[in-house]
Amino acid sequence: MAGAVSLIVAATAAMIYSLLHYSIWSFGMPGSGLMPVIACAMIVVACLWTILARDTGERARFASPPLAYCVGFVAILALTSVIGLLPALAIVAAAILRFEGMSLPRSILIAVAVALGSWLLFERTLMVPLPGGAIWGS
Amino acid sequence: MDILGDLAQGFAQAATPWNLLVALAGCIVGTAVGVLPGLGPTATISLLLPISVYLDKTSAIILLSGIYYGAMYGGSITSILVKIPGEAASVITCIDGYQMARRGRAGAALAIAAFGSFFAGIVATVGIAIIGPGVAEFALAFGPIEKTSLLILGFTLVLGVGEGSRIKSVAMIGLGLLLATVGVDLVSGDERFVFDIAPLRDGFNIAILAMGLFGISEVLLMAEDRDQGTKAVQSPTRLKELLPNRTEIGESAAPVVRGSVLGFFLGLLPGGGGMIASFASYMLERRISKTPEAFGKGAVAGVAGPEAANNAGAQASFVPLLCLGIPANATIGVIMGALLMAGVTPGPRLIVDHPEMFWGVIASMFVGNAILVVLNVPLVGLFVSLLRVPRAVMSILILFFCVIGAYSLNNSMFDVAAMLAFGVIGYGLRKTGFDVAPLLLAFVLGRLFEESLMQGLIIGHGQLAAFLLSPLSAVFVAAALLIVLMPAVMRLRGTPISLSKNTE
Repeated sequence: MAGAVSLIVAATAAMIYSLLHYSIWSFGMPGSGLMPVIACAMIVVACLWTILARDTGERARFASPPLAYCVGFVAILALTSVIGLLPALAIVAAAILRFEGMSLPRSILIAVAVALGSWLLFERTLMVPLPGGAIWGS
Repeated sequence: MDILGDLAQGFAQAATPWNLLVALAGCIVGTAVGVLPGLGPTATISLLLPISVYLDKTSAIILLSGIYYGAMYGGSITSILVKIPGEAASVITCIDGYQMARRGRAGAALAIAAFGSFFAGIVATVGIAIIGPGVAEFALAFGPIEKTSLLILGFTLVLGVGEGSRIKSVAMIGLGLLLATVGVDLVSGDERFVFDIAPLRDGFNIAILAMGLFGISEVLLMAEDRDQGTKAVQSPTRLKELLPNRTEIGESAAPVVRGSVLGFFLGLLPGGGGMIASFASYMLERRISKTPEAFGKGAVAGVAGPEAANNAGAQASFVPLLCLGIPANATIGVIMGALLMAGVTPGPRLIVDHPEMFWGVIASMFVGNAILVVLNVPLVGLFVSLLRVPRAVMSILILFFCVIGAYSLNNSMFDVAAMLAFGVIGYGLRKTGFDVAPLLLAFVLGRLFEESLMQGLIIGHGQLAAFLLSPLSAVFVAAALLIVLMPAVMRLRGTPISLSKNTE
């Protein structure tokens, strides 16, 4: 039910925004607002049907470990601007591995090894210019 | 000259030591590109365009096409092992391929994908040689009106994809279509849902959605299983367990044949290619299966058919390019650029002006597919050994590849943030019983659909009747209506219908 309700709220908001900002039909031709309105209507009708038919089909309750991963995702974005992408990924990876029950030295070793491998593959071999952050960037 | 003579001439071109080496290099690079999320074949072929200038024109196209169908197979490897589609055409393989891997049949799934792709490659090569040029003219009958109707039929087929109920699939198709509208509308020039955020002007990249909805959400679902955090997934160790058994070979044979033929014909259509072919094959197999309830839970036919269709479609999409000068998709468009750089104008005159190149490329497709099997089947054991990596470490590897892959698309941290956000959204949707496969398929088709719909309505002076006046379009619309109305008709006939697909 929670998923269906969230989708209805999001789709209704998108539909209202679309109706206010884009035309559905203009000069006898479809406007840029036509497709968003069709899409939102599909979501709202389908989710309402789902609720009315009690077709929730939800899995077990939300668990807390994924929340820790989500905190890690936010940390990657925040740390990247300071220390660069690979160090940020390595720190978050070590923290996640530690959170998963691995010993601290092993967590650090694996995180550093994966970061080093990624640097060799992407930055050195494939020439992807990974962001260096405020410290190493300049 | 007869076709056999032409083909012999092509093989003489393709089988020179230099061209064999070029095809091998293309297949290796393509497979690697397919495995790594983010760096798709379009970007890689674009990067390698300057290198292709130094090769003669036939070798250049052999290299670039090798990358293209190498990537098609490479994308399947990650789809099966870690549920990350390296390519849009591999999305379907995620569904049953990953379930097979979870049941300890990853090796069988990879081998079926490899042999299925090889067989499809042969069918497509023969098909292109025999009827390609003739059929390509038929593809010219496909204007925006016919394409719109075909895509409507495609959406009705998407309803049957995945694990959730049909009505939830409708919601996911709506969400996919909505996400596809983000960015600048090509017809009116309006910016939609951009909110003055510059990276949103180009809309979301398919790879961003695929990595987030499948890869990151899978990491989050795996995180719930903390007891398994430092343990590896059970994987086969003996060679016998790595290869498909007799039952699996038997179950895959017919879907591979059907997928090859279906993929070939859908690949001929402009805008077709592997993506539409793979999910059309999945739906066909699901509909004709005696055990449709097995789909989504590791059905062999759910891997064999789409993989064959994907490869046949990818190869057949060379026909509109070589015979008509119409690129079927973005990757083929870049290959067309390589041809133009080499001074060759693709089109009806190509086969007359450059027969050695036309038949050389066709023969190289066969050679390339043989190389892919020789290259990948012995490596199945190595690929499967990835599953022995503990889940927590696997999560970290997926996180690294997805984050760097997302960044490498546009060198933008916005893409990384969007990909992670889609991961969390995908996790939430999957936890609440919504399957994300229809969302991704609708997203891919959405842009094509809107473009065709707008063009179709402009051609038809805003009249929806235009979609019924074209006979080909009317057939597609009728087929779509039939699929949608079939449950109601069956209900009238007294057959019990449930909203859940699994109970149908």
